[in-house]
Amino acid sequence: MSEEFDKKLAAVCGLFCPACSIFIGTKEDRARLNVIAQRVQRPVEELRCNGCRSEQLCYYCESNCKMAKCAVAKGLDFCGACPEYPCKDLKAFQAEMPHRIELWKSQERIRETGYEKWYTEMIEHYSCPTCRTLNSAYDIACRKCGATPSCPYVRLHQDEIIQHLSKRK
Amino acid sequence: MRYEDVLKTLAPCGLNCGKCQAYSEGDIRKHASELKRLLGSFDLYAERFSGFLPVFKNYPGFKELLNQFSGANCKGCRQGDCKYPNCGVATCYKQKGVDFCFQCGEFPCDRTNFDPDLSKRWLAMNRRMKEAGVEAYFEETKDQPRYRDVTDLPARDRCH
Repeated sequence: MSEEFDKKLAAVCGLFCPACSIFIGTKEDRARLNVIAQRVQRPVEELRCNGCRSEQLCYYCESNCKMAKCAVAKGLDFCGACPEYPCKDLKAFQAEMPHRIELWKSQERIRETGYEKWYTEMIEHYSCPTCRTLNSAYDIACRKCGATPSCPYVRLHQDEIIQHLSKRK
Repeated sequence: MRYEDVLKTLAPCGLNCGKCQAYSEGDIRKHASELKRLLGSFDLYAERFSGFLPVFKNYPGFKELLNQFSGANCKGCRQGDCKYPNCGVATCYKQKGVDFCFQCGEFPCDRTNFDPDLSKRWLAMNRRMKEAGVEAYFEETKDQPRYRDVTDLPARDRCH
């Protein structure tokens, strides 16, 4: 059961850690992690991440994320349960990158159905319809079988994702 | 104002581009440009005045903002220039062939990507347009400031 929906991988902000490129890189794709490390100019060790509520966080979530620390201080599991939701920190965070487009929808879903149900929906949302591999929002084509789009999330937000990728150095 | 003219500034979500700080033809841009013109070379004076009125020490920051406002160059939502990050409405209304969300058979849908606060306003704006008509809605909201803390207002007053 704990393998089916792991709370460590259901981020406070509403992101789904298993569909994060850094998480995928940490768990099963060393080459991917190296590429990201080079792009962000950080040693690869600082990128290793086992998920939002784990002991090992990537440098970004460790030092930049305001939500996780705030939720601990308030004794909350997810931002959506907070009286200040949606606060300006979360709004600014959501607006920054296209893998965060559905944060509001996720918070709503978690509140309505519980994170377990949401978690199973997210697996579907980021899985390749052909080979069932979990992809990140930035895998336009499936990282295993090459099918395009790689998953329902990418199908829905392809334009925004491609626009973002084209601006990347 | 006629429906066709309202369409020039009212976005399909219901927000009024004409009142936006980023809009090239907006009142904020126009007033900022005029203020900038009237201030001329105030820099030199601000420095001198700050000796006896310390508030003028902040003039450089103020001027920077004034330049930002007066340089607004957005052409507006219907010209394909929506500034809301990942706005789902800007492309969708064209595909659906409607002028405003409320005219769509699927309204209210979950494809806006708006944050929960804007979502509430979007609902209120579109319900009001549906109820009162686009032209009347435009008239009753055109003089309200665009930027208000609307989270505590009743639904009807969230419109702008």
